[in-house]
Amino acid sequence: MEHAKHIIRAVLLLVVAVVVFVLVRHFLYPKSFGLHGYYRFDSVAEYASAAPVHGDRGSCAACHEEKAATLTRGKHASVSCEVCHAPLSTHVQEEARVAPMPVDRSMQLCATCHQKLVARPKGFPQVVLPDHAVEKGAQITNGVCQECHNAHNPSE
Amino acid sequence: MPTIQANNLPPHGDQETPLPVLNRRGFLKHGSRALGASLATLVLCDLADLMQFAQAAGLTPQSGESVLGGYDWTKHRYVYLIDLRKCIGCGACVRACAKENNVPRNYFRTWVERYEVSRTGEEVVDSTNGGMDGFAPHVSGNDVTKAFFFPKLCCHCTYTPCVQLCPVGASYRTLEGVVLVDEKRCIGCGYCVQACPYGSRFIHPVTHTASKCSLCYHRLTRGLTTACVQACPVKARMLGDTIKVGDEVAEIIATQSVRTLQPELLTDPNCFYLGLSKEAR
Amino acid sequence: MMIENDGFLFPNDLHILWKLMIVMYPYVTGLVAGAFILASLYHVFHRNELRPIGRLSLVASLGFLLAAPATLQLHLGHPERGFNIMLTPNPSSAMAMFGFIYAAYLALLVFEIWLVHRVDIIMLASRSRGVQRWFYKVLALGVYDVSEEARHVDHGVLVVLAALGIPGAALLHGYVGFIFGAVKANPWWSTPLMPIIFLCSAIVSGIAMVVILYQVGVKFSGRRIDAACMQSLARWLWLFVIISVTLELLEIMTLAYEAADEWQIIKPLLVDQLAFSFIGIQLIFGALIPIILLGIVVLMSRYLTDQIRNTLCFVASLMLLVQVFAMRWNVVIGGQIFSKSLRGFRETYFPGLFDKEGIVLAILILVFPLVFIALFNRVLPVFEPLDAGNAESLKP
Repeated sequence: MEHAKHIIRAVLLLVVAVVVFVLVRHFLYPKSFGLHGYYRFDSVAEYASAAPVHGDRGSCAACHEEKAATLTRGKHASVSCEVCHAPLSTHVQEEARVAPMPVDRSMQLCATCHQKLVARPKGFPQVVLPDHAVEKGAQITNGVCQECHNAHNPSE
Repeated sequence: MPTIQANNLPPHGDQETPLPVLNRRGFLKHGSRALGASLATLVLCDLADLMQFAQAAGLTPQSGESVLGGYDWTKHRYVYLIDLRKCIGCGACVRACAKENNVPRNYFRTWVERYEVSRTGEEVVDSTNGGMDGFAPHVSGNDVTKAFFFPKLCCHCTYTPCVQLCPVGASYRTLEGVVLVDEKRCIGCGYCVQACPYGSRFIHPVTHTASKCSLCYHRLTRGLTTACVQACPVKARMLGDTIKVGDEVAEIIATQSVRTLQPELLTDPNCFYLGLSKEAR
Repeated sequence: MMIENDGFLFPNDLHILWKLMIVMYPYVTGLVAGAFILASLYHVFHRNELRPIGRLSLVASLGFLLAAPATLQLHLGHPERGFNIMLTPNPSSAMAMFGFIYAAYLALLVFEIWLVHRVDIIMLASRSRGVQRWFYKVLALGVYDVSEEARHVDHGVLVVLAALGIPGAALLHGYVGFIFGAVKANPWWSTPLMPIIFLCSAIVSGIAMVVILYQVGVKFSGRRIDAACMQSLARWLWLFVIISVTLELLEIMTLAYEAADEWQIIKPLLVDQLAFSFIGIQLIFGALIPIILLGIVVLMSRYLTDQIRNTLCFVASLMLLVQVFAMRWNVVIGGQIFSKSLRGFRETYFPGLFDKEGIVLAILILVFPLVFIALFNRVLPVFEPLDAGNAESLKP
């Protein structure tokens, strides 16, 4: 061992490096990591705390009971208000009205569901647009579909 | 937030034995021993963290810890069901998802594909803008005999390759079976994006971290359903909970002919399909 | 080559995600592993004809090892979080092991180089004055024991280190292959052969790099190229190119013969998308021609003058360095050109000049080790001193 002094010193250097690493790692180790799996548990709460943008189907009816009732009676009962309007949070935040609720009356929006497409289920009501509107003698404007169809209850 | 409980820490070794009066030699001896003991404690602390991880990996439900006030994550186990025979390809789900989760343009947490198959077997698949704007009539010139829309999202696999190979533990699976990404720890290496067989992940162009469907975790924890399920006008998309008694979706999955995507990879997806045709990949 | 998107791609699959720096990463670590394994042929297996490059290949290995993390850091979306990989390494992730394998290998390599040069360090410490003297004294860790016994200890430790280093090098690079080979979502990557293919081509690139460094280095230091050494390098190089190319072809033959699902996309990938870089560079320019050139050196050695042998080796090595780069490119980029829909190809990728993952930075990363070797040589000789007296005693 007398002639291995330099090896011992080199190994000591290595040990010091490892110890420094263990210390640094200990102090940088993220809080709540590994609590319920190999991840930072706080991250789950961070996800949970994000504010929803859309409401749920009941939240519109709280104020617009009549509209909601019309909707439920008709064939659009399963269509969420927010599909044709906008996410609830553009209109209401923290129980207070913040802006008017927009509505998309465009034929393009109606077409996303009712344009005739070979891949749609056969029984689903669909027409060739804009031919259908032209046939009925309508001008293609924004809101052309609503001239004949009530969006809240299309069969009315 | 819960922190590591004191009783989870390993005992502090022989530090409690009273130290004798020290001379220089003794000081060195005991000093080094104390140093060694505290180092050992540090190492053991890390080991304890690992042990906890090993415990949790066994998915032993641990109650009492609430993720968000009133919501108990041990009481849910989410499954997703898509009925391809009902989907009309309107893209309302894609639009709702993009708004709900602020998804960057040209990237998709959920999207809809369209398959058109002819009698002679030509397959034409498209998904312009992820189906966000719906689909336009499309003339392939083929004699299309079979066509369907094919919504997709993260399958929230049980044995998910993305979580397996995330180098830093930024991708994880919650107790309820939701696969999430810790945006504060993700290093943006993109390995999980490469590993996902379904193309459900992407690197967010602004945050430069991996991003994916979170199953609207912020909505689930408030008792709401996901944005895509809520937006679906034909109930082609459904969210279920296998722990809930009498759950409609869980019942369908348990009793009917459902399929998952690329089952041969054994990732064990929790997103199930009704009416999945052989062409669909 | 097709420029447009073709067929159907998953909507999130439009762009190539792993770019030039991820091509560079296996390339650079391959040079590290290859050069080290070459050095071990001398230090462990006592191929004494390789003695002239014994030190050079170790120092080159260190130079490239120091450059390797730059490729990853430039690629990461959050380089400032790169250390997370050592803070919370996911035990089930292959990539998470990088930090530890890298650190262990770096320590081993530095230790080994230090031992190889220790006698020189002490000699230089005794000859120099002032700051320089202090510098060498620190390098010697304050121990100036050059006795026969001390050198004997050195030699023993050296052999152990070098022997540990071989699995270390194999691990360092085999694991890079594993990173690709273990992605079951990607049919072009997912094969258990991947680590072995990567390792073999790593050795090819390492030896080729040392051939070039040796020939150039010798020119600068006014020595002569050792014919036996060059002949030996050519032999090893030839062997490993043949193994490497055979494995590369075997993998593709298996895929083609099985003609399973994935071949539908891999066939057009190889013959259309990668026609130039795969068939042109990886197989013909980079493999077939060097195999012929090295074959001449190995089989017709006695008819060759030193001049011709050196030139043949030099040219073949340059081509092989290109071949291995092309192989990395074809794996990394090729595996991403097709969408996971297996129905179409993404936009063709070509790196930008000044991008974060661009050509200029890639060249700088490759130049760094050369500068490192030159600087190292000013501190400690990368070629053994010509006065054989001191060097002789270090002979393994």
